[in-house]
Amino acid sequence: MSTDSRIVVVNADLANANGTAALQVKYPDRFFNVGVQEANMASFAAGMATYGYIPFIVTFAPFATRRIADQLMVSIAYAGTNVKIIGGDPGVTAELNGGTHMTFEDVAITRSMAGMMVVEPCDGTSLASLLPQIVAYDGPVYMRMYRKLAPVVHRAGTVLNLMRAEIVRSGRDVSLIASGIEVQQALQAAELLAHEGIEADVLDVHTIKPLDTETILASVTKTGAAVTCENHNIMGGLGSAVAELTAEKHPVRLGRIGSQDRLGQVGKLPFLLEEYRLSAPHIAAKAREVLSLNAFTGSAH
Amino acid sequence: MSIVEALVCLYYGGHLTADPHQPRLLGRDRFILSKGHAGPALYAVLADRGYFPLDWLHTLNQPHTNLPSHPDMHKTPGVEMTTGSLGQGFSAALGAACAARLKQDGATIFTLIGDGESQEGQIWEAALYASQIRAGNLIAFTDYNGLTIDGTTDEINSLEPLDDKWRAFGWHTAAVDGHDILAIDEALVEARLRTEQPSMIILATRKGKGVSFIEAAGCASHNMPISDAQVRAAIDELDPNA
Repeated sequence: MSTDSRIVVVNADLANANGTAALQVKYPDRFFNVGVQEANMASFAAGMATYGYIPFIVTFAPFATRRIADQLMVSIAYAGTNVKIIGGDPGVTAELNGGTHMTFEDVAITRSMAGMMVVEPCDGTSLASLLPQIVAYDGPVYMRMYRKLAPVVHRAGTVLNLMRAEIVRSGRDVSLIASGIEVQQALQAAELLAHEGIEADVLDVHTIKPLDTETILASVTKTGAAVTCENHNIMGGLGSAVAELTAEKHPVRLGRIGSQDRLGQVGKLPFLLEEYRLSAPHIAAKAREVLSLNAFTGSAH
Repeated sequence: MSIVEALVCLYYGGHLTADPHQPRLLGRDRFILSKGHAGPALYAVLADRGYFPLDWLHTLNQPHTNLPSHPDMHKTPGVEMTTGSLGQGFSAALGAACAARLKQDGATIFTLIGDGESQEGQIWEAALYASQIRAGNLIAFTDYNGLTIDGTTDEINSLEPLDDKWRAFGWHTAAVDGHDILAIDEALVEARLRTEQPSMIILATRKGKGVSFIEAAGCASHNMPISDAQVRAAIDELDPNA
């Protein structure tokens, strides 16, 4: 916000919760708190965008997507307004806010919107690198992000490419394709598998739409087996995106780690990671399961 | 057709400061038709004012048209926001009004909502916030024709007393005969003086005003087929000298 005066922030009463309250103090005339009205927040931002501003609308992930799906679709995606939508505390990171706030659907919803980019940074470094690119990109972007300081996956200062998946570990035996908090779990799973002589490729797919098909296909072509890992329902998110790709271009044995079409519940993160089978040991188990399947005998290029 | 007089007042009465030949001129006043399904009325006015050639009007809803049923700002010069899902254009108009204030360009943002649309929660979200931030450069109309698709507003969700509701939300509110251009003009002049609060001009209107068989159709006129003979009869009725 300090370097680009086109950026404005529109909040729906959660500035203190989502960490944008400091911006209100520093840039009061470019900070708008519409109160508990997310629908207005979205279309209001679209109206500001028609004036050349770049609005960031910020709220918890369920209210940024499920609650205002039509506003995202019509005022933003269809109208082509340059609004960036931030959904905080997605999936199990909603923790004690519980099942009503636990979005396992937000990627599915936004991925299905034509013209909507979908991004999920895995840590603070990723966010810092991707944010300027999101500002520079002329078009709607939905970004789901854990508001607490995420464990560091990328070294500070690493430059990532918004349009490319990042290979954070190289291996020949299985592709672990992950996003968000699951990237760190996938890296830990890779360590577990390495003890058994299974070397995993680990991909940080920070941009789920558009998918970096080239990097993903290169990985699964090499390994012949893939496990997708997402803090989301296995239906409609990253796993589905990868399944769509491989089924059409290069079928491989595929397993999906994520919520198995279940409702959310209250809990702290370690409990929830186990409850929804998202943690490293579950990823490793899924990898072994996938590797035990017969390989596809060929793919139709 | 219930909104024709209001549009004429805006576009021909000197209230909307804009240039049809420079539709993207900075600092222009803007009109957002939140009641997007009335797009054709706006198109007729925009065409007549010279935003685009008159013969575009024959392409309404044709494949690849620049004039889709609901206004699209990427397709039609003079359309300031893509609308069609009720309530959203109203919020967008408020956003544009805020942006205009931030830019300090002196623009007035006009918008028009329907009475069916006034049942949407989003309308009242924006109503609250517009008043909160004293959006004095936002002037809105309600096309109060009393009809929605399934019945009258009184049968389904009565809005009465509508003017009291807007006043209660902190808006400067006026209620006028929506087909009386002079009354609308007076209301606009009064509204423009209100710099500390947004304004709502409630237009008492009739759907299909001026064409007897459309007026008689009531709710059915939201979407009704019209034959070429009926078109000729309608034009005759509206302007016997045409």
